[in-house]
Formats: sequence, C-alpha cells, structure tokens
Amino acid sequence: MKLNRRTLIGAVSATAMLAFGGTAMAQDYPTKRITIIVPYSAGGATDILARQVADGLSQVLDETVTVENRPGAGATLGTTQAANARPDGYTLFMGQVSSHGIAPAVYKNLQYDPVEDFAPVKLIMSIPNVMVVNKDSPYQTAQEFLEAAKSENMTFGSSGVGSSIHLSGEMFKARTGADMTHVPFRGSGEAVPALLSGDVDVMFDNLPSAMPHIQSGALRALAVTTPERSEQLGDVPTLDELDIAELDDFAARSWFGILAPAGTDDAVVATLSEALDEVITSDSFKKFADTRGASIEGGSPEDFAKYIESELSSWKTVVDEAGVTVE
Amino acid sequence: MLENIATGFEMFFTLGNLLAITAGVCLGVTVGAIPGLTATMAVALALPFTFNLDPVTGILLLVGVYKGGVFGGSITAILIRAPGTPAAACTLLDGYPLAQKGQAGKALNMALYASCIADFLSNLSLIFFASLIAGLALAFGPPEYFWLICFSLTVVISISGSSLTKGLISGLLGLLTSTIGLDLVYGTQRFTFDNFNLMGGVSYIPLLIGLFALPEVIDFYVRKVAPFTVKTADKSRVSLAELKSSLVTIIRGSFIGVIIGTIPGAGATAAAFLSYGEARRTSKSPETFGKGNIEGVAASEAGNNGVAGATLIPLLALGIPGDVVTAVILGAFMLQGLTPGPLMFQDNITIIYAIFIGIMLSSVVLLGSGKLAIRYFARIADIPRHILLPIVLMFCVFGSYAVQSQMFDVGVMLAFGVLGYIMMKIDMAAAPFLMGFILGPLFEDNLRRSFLISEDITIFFRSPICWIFIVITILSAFVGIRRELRATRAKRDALRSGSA
Amino acid sequence: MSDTRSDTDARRGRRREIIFAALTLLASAVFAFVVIPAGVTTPASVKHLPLSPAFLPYVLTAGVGLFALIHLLEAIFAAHIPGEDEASLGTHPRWKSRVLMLVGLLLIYLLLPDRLGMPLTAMLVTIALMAIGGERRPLILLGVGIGVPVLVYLFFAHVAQVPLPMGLFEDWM
Repeated sequence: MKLNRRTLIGAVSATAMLAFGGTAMAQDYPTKRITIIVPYSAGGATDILARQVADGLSQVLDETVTVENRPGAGATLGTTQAANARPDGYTLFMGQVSSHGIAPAVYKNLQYDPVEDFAPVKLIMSIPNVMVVNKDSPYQTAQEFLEAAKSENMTFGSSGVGSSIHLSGEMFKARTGADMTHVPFRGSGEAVPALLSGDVDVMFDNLPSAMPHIQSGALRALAVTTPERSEQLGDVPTLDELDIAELDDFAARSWFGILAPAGTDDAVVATLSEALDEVITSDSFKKFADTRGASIEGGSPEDFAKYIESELSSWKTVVDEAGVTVE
Repeated sequence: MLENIATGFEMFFTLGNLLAITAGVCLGVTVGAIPGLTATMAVALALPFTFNLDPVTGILLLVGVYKGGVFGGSITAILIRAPGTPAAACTLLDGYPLAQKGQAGKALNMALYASCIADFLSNLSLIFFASLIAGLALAFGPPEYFWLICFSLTVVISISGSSLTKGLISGLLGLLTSTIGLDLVYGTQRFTFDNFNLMGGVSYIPLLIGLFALPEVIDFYVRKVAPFTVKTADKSRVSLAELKSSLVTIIRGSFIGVIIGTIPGAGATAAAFLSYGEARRTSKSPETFGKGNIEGVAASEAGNNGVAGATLIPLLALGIPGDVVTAVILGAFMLQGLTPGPLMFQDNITIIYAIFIGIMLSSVVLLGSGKLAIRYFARIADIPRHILLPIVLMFCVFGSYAVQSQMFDVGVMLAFGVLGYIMMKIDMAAAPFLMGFILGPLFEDNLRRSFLISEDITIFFRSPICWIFIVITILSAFVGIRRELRATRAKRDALRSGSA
Repeated sequence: MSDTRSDTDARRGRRREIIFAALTLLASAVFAFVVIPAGVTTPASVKHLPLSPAFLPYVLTAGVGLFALIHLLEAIFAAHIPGEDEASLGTHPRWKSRVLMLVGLLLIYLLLPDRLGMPLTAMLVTIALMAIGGERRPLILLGVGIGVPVLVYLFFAHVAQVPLPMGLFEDWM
C-alpha cells in the first residue's frame, strides 16, 4: 500500500514535471527553496547547527534554505523520511552519528539503509565526548574511577538509549568490565543536572553541553573519548593514551554532515559540496564551532562516504560488544 | 554594582532593542495563537534572525517571542476551544464557557492581565532571587521529581468535572496513552505494534487539538441548533472588583509558576493546572469552576506565565536549560560567544543587566500588544459558527501536520477528536486525560530512574523535599476526595428532598 | 416537568452509566490479558519489577478496572445524579446522515492531501462544511472557501516555514 502510494505520487509528479517543465537542471541549480531535514526537534544541538548551516548556505547559493524538524523514534523517523524524499537536490538531510552510525547497529527493523538510500555530501564537524564527574567526586583521574568501578556499582547518565553518550558509556563498561548502571534521560539538558547534583556518578557527555560546566568548575573532565586531545581541553588526556590496556584505541565521537537522498545528480552534489566548503570555512562558522568545542571537518563527498562506512562498522562492534539492541 | 546597572541601562536603551522586544512579542502572540504552532516553534523560527544581531538585541528578541507565545496560546483557547499552546489547555476550562456566555472580551482581558502580572512577578524573582532559588533546580533529583509529579497528579481530582470516578479513569487513560512508544530504559516497543510513526510516542499537540477543539466542530454538525448564538460587539470587560478578587489567585499562581519554572523539565502546563487546582480548592464556590469562572482563567494564565521568566533562572544562574525554549535561547547565547552560568555573572554582568532591563520591559510590551491582539482576535467570536468551524477544522489539520510535517499526526488529531467527542457525550472530563498524558512520562521516568540509581527503596524518602511532597500529596488527595464525596452527597440529598 | 418524566430520565441515565462502567471494566480486562502481553516487549534482563516496561501499563489498567467497578456499584446502588448534558439540546433531526457526511469529510482531510495537496483539500472540505452548515450565498462559499485556505497556506509556508503537502501541484509552486 505504502509503496503503491509512493509510486503513484512519483508517477503523478513525474508527469507534472514534464507538463510544467520544472525539471531541476544541474546547471541552474538551485532555482527554488532548499529544505534541510533535521531528525530532532527545534532547539537541539543538531537543529542549531542545521540552522547555522542553512543560514550560511542561503547566503552562498543566494536561495532560501530552511530547516524542517521531523523528530521521533531516536532520529530514525526523520531519517526515513529524508531517505524517501525526491532526489532533486532540494531536500537535504542533516545526518549525524546517530542516524548514520549508531541506529543501524542498534535498531533491528530500520526503515532506511544508511548507505544505499543516501548520497553523502559533506562531513561538517565533529565533537568529542568527554568523561565528566561532579567536582565533589573523589575521583581525580579516569584510572581512579575505574579502580572504584570495579568494586562498587556506578551509575552513568545519558541523553537516551542509543545515543553516542549512552554507547560511549557502554563501550567503556564492556571494555573494562566496570560495574556500571545506565540511567537514561531525555536529552543532555536533563542528564547534566543529575550529574551536577551528584545523582549519577559519571557521564560521557558531548563536549558542547559539558563545556560550560567544566569551565565553571562544576564538573571535572577526566578524559576525552577521541583519539586526539581536544583543542579546548588541552590538558585532559584521551582514554586511548591512558595506561589502561583495555581502553587502547577507544574512539567515540559525535559528528554531523549533510547528505542528499540517493540518486541526486552528481553535479548537484558537487555544487552543494563547494557551497558547503565556503560555509564551513567562513569566520562566523569557525566562531560557531569554536564556542562549542567542535572541530570543523570538510573533505569530499567520497571521503564522507568512506567515513560513514567506517563509523557504521565501528559502532556495530561496540553494540555487539555491549549487547545493546532495540526491537 | 550601580555602575554595572548604569552601563546595563546604556547598553539596553537603543532603538534596536526596543524594536526587537516589540517585534518578538507581536510575533510570539500571533504564532502562539495558532493551534499547532507553539512558542517553541516561534522561538526556533526567530533564531536565525539573531545571528547577525547584537547579543542583547538577539536574546531579547527570543525572550519576547517566548513570552508572547505563552500568552498567545490562550486567545484561541478561549475563543474557539483550540489551545494554541499546550499550557493554554487549562485556560479553556473556564475561558471557553465564558466565551459561550458572550463574555469572550472579559476572559481574554483577564487572561492578559493575569499573564502580565505573573510575568512581571516572575521577572522580579529572576532578577532578585535567581542565585537564591537556582539551587532548587539541583535539589530535584529523580525521587524528588517523582513526588512532585505525584502531587501534580492529585490536581486531577479537582478537574474531574461532574463525576470523580470518570475523571480518574480519564486521567489513567491519559497516563496509559503516554506509555505508547519506545521504552526509555530498554528501548523496547510499547503498544507501537511495529508502526514506525508511533515509535516516538503520540505527539501531544495533535492530541491536544483533537481532544479539545475537534469535539466542538463535530458537535455543531450533530446538534439540532447552533450551541451558542453569537453576541456581536462583545463589550464585556474585567471590572476592577473582579481583578481585585482575582489578585490573590494571580499572585499565588505566579509563585507556583516561578517554583515550577525553576525546576527544569516540569513545564508550564503542570504549573497552569496546579495553579488552577489551588484556586478551585480555596474558592468559596468551587462548583462554578469549569463553567465560566473568571478566576479559573486568571489562575491558569498566572500559572503558565509565571513559568516564563523563571525558566531563565536555571539557565542564567547554572547554565541549565529547563525546557526546549530555553535550550534554543542557550544556543543563541553560545552563538554570540556567551556562556550562561556562574561565569557569565562575573565576566559579562553588564550584558546580564541589559537583558534584565529588557525582560522587565517585556511585561509592559506584552500588555500593550496583548490589548491590540485581543481587539482584533476577539472579532473571531463575531464570525457565524457555520463559517468559523470549518476554518477551525482547517487550522486543526494544518497545525497537526506542522508539528512533524506528517500526515500521520493529522490522523492522530482526528482519532483523539473522536475520542474527545465520545468523552464529551458520556460526560467524562478531558482535562484529566491531558494531565495524565503530559505528566505520565515524567512520572514513569523518574520512578524508574530512582530505581536505577539506587536499588534501595529508601531513596524515595531521602530528603526533606521528598517528605514535603509526600505529605502534601496525601493531604491534597485526601482533602480533594473528601470534598468531592461531600459535594456528591449534597447533590443526592437535594435530589431526594426535591423528589420527596 | 412531571415526576414520571424525570423518573424515566433518571432510569435512562442510570442505565447509561451502568453500560459505560461495564464496558470500561470489560475493556480493561481485555487490555490486561490481550493487549499488554501482545504490545509490550519485556526484556529478560529486568532487575526490579518497577523497571519493567510492562509495570506501569499493568498498574494503570488495574486502576481503570478498579474505578470502573466503583462506578458500576455506584450506578447500581446509589441514587442517580443527572449530568448537565442530559438536559441539553437534542440531536439534529437528520443527524445520522450528517455524521456520515462529517466522517467522509474528515477522511478526505486524512487521505487526500498527499494527492491533491493540502490547500485544494482544505478548499473542498471547507466549502462542503459551510454548505452543510446552511450557507447558501455563493460569494461567501467561494470567497471564504477559497480565500482563507490560500491565505493560511501562505502563512504556514512562508512565515512559519512549514511546507504543507502540495500533491500534484508540487512542481507548480
């Protein structure tokens, strides 16, 4: 039924396209409004980034670029809709570690294929996750924490099942055999206060939401989860460089990138890729990334495609190790 | 300190800032008044405009939109029983009956006065007690939250309408509906039956619109005569005596709003209903609530606007966003290179003062633009019903679609519309259903989180805050049920003596 | 109003309450024994009872059943209190056909926007509903029925930035 309807709409719109001659020719792309689908509600980290990108993109392309929020089912709902959108370059998707890294490993019956259904355009930026504890916590280093966690139960907060924050914790737990209980919240905004008040012991939060509290001294950063140290937190070690064998090569980070539905004209993808390069190298975007402890990525569409493949396989490993799946 | 305030004043008094607040409030009132378009959406829409504005101007624009949106929601709640924002659902309980009596003007004006007074008080507490009550935000861990929600749920007793048992069933059904979707802790399916659209749960704006606005539309076509003849040129106003007698209610509602607003995540809807429940409980004539008592309008609007200023307390003092709107505002601060929290009070105190001054002014702007909006929106009441209701239905459909750009949500709205109509016919109050639906996730999440944090049941009694809420929950439930039972007995006695 | 009449009203009202309570009781039983086991997946690793995803649904269903039972007993044994609604206006003489028409129009709102586009669907339904409501002036029917949906569409699309479905007019815009 669903398929039938979609085919029907496709057929009707194809006829309409012929009739009205509104075919998107790559040469004069864009000629009308571009929409970026965000699979989260307005106001979240992904949404704010998308709006920043949309603002920059509309200046570079000289065409309105709007953000459309389609939240639900841990980002998978909006992603499915983006996968089924018409590949004419006028519907783009704000992909992130959840939709194109974790969800395919966690959800058993996903309605989209992260590789087959999308044409990657550009990796925009990435942010490290940071292992933080309350300032009054007795643990000064990740080693001390780990020692304690082997003998007594610890709780770790997250922004929800299947988030990179949750899975970083699961990865830590699975690798080290620490005794840790996952306490899910609905978004980082709810989880951080629980860490601040000491209700949960540790969190592998995204750096932007933890940063202000690290700066004010309310939270103590024990380690970052990326292979390299973060520029903003130069003196905080990575989990990899710690002298703990189980944590070697520990790498978990959140990233964001623009994708188009599969089948989008290569020339359109190239135009968008160039425009996005201009956006992310602008001063205002640099300032935007700096304030949230993010690093600007960039690279070609092919690089992004490879990156997604590597992310998919590494999260798959984590999920298998940790034994987290969702029906 | 004085010097800082003076610099703050200088920073604030620019034409741009005044314009930003005014434009923000007006945009907020308009968008908020449209069912389906919420204050949150309005703030997100205004966000890109702030990219190129001066920090103070940008933040004030967003704050203006937020405050306008919170009030705007009540306009359509009163006029057409379609709450523009979730928090306004409580306002319609008495606002719509007033409009049916031809006193839409009075209800709207009272909503505005209550909103402005509550807003002003909320702003004052933000400015003077921010550091004092910010600690409250962190004092609420999962167990404290759990008891707060239990207490809030006792309000269901007060809004049950004619039958207590039916009201309680309605509330339980609302709670049950809130469990639909992926489970928070395990991520397993609950009542989704593999339907992808339900994985994220039933979205509450379509539910809200369906439950309240649609039954009126359906009823119009099924009834013999139009339910109310339109009183043109509605000149009803709030008298000074009415305002005076509602003042206690408004002030109490404002403080409930401030407390609830300071605790992240509890939300304006809960505050509005709590304030309403309190007003009914302390009223000399509780039976008139729900049938067009002007104090009911004052209470719920005071409750929900009291939240507006107070949600900025945890944001500015601790850097914690209490709801989605403040999360967007936090984003706007960060875009400007400012980080709300204790450090901002040290490094950028003048900006904070400038924002405070602007926020104080926003209450006044709200009064002015609200008056203007009422004058035009009130004419909606003059449109003949057979023309108005098809348009209301159209807004319901468009608004439900707008939430997630999905036809599925239109279906959700229609389904709950039919449910709402059935509930109306069997005399079952819809407000408890909404209450249960909104508080359900908070109730369950915090219950389960408490168990995750500590396997020991004593965690539910760990702090004085827990005990305070346990005591007032029991008191509130006991007193409420006893009062309802007495009222029923009185009715029966009257009936018996009447027929004898 | 004679005594006998209010007696039959009371009896009818009481019967209605009994039916409602009995049906609710039945529904909660069906829910507890069929819907919850089928609709809620409980993982094997649940440590505490309250942590189970099925815990709250069971408690709530039990609550609904309990209150339905209380309501049933009350309706059977206590004196009936007439609700306000019972004294209200009666139904429209041709309410059955009107309900059918309304259901049809609501279904149109649900099914057609994907094909016809939201504005056109809104025009059709709005005009039809106004006509059912008794409006006969063509100027109002067409003016309001076409003008308002277009204006609201423009507001949603351009001010609120919510692109409503356009169906076959997608490329026209």
